[in-house]
Amino acid sequence: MKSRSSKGFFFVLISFMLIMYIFLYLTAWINAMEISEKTASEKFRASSIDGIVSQLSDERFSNFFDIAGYYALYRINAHASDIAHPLKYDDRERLKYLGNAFFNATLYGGSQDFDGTDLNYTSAEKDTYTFGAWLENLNGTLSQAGLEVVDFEVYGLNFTQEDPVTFNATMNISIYVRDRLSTVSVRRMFALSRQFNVSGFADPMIKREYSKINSTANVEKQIFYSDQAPDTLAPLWVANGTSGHGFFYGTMIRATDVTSSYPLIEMRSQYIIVGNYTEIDAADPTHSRFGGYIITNAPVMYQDANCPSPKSESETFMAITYVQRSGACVEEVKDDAPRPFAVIPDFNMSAFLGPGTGARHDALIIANRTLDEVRTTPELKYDGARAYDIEKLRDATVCAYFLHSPRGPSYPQRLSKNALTLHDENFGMETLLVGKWAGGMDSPDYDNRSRVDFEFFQPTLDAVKVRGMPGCKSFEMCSAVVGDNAPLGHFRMSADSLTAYGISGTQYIACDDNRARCD
Amino acid sequence: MAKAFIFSIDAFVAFTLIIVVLHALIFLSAVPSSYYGGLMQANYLARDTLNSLVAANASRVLDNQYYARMSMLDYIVSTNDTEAVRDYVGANIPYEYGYTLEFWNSQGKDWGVIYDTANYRDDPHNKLYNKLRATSHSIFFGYTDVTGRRNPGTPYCYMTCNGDKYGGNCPSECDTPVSLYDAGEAALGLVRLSVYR
Repeated sequence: MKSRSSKGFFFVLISFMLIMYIFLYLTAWINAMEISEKTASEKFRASSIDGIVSQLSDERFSNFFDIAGYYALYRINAHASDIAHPLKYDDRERLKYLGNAFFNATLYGGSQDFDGTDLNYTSAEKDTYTFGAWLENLNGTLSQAGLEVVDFEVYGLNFTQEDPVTFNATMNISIYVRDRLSTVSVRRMFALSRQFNVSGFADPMIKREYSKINSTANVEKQIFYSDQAPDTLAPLWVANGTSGHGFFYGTMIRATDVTSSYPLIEMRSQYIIVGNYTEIDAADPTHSRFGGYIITNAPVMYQDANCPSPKSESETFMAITYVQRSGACVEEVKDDAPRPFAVIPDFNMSAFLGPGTGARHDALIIANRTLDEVRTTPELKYDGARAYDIEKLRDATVCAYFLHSPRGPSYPQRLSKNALTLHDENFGMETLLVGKWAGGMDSPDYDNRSRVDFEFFQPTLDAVKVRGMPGCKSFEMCSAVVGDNAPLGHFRMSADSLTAYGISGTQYIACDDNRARCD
Repeated sequence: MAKAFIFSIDAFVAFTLIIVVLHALIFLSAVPSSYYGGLMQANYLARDTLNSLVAANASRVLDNQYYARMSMLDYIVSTNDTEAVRDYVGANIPYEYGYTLEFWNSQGKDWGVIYDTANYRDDPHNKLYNKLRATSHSIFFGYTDVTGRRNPGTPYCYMTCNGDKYGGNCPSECDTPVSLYDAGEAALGLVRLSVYR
């Protein structure tokens, strides 16, 4: 009995111990699972935070800086183009106000660096193009993970100019992000540096100054910078002629290429036909349908049987012959050249290339005498003529390039009210103005102005017409009164500008050189 | 006496046994379902897909220089191109997940759905939200028009300028110049990609 009782007791005891072991095991297992869940949830949270903090990258900030910075410059340019509020300017610190305006607009959406009304973004612009708005949206993403921006600091602002149209802006950003439980925090610092190019912006000086001439006009001459200097555009004296009269600019066409349909009859007056006398005579027997003529053969000299001396000439324009009349040798002139011409033996049309690929050849021919002078005294035709390649100058004018010029105002200066009187030796620019608005039909009172932009708007400068340039391709055009026959007015330059563009000495093509007159 | 003692021990052990069984049943039923593994995967999918859209240059992906200044995320937000969403978002997410791509415009101050697989029965990702959802966000700041900031060269035509490349005739220099500069239209907002199943 006693042993059965002992066995029973030990059985119960062992059972109890086993049961307790199972109980403890289950407890430990459950606790382990709970700890594992907590660890996983922390990892998940950390992963979410990591994904959101990855928003804070150099590239993201830099992309924002690029878009916001360009927009700031665009708005500054537009604001300063208004006569009521140009940008301030300090000659001792040339980028002071432009830099201030740039950073203030980018960071806060406004600037007080203007004379007159301040620049203020609309609320929609502030919500999109400022760092304040960007920060607010950053907070919006960070809040999804329980994070918030606690501290945001911008410092080290710097604004420099690299070339006439390129500016460098740099700044440092420090950002401190922390979660609401203060268990996770991130501090990041970014050094941003971007280049900003103002090419394509409407020039503020031209727009602002022209509004003083015509308050209803909106002249938006865009800045297309070319690093050419004005003196690299000088006319090129290509060929020397033995005779001729008048002056004319046009595209050259070989006489042998002329057909009944090419060029169009109504367009032939804009061309210079080139060939020997026979070829030209075959293409245009009247010698009057084209705008100008270049005869590539020397006159054929012969002795008239009755008047052997001096020799007569043929195969040329306005040929001078000596014939016997009433027993005496008299001089006769064949008046067959009402249009400007030049006799240039061995003329090479291909030498006129300009800045292009050589597919087209244009020339300006200037003779020393006018038609009237040659008609009166035929020998004056032998005073000669010259042919010039002026395509570089015309190309810069027609393409509306802004040229690198120490005489002209720089971009920051163009934003200011005194732009016309300022210049910058390193970053100055100038451009040539052409159009009905620039001394043409829309502003005939300004036809006598130089077409260099900062000279055009200054009343004290007088200027001389330049042959071959818009409004002065021929005597008829150059002498016409501004109107339907001269809608662009007449291209002019001041004496300083003529020198700056290399129009001097043997390259001189302006109208005050005592050669074939312009009006 | 001994019998009473043993009886008591017996009863105590039985009682303890019953308590342990009850505890075990309670513990087992209280164990939380472990979705964190699935949530982690969904979160990675959402986050990595968004990051790849931000990093990818649209002109390279689409082989079209017209989109040179845009990321794929910019392209999708500005054009709402559903095919692009399927090709470049859906391709990164397994079929067992559905997803929703939304955009919050800071000016409009509301969320707009760009694409939700639940609305497209032909989309292999057409699923309904059942158990878990993970979301990833990205700041969107970019141009909403595909051309973005446009800085054309001189529009005129002569020897060194070829302005008619912009599709029109060369303007005459006789006329008052009009600026063709386009500042571009940008937007600031948030993009949200939710992956669920």
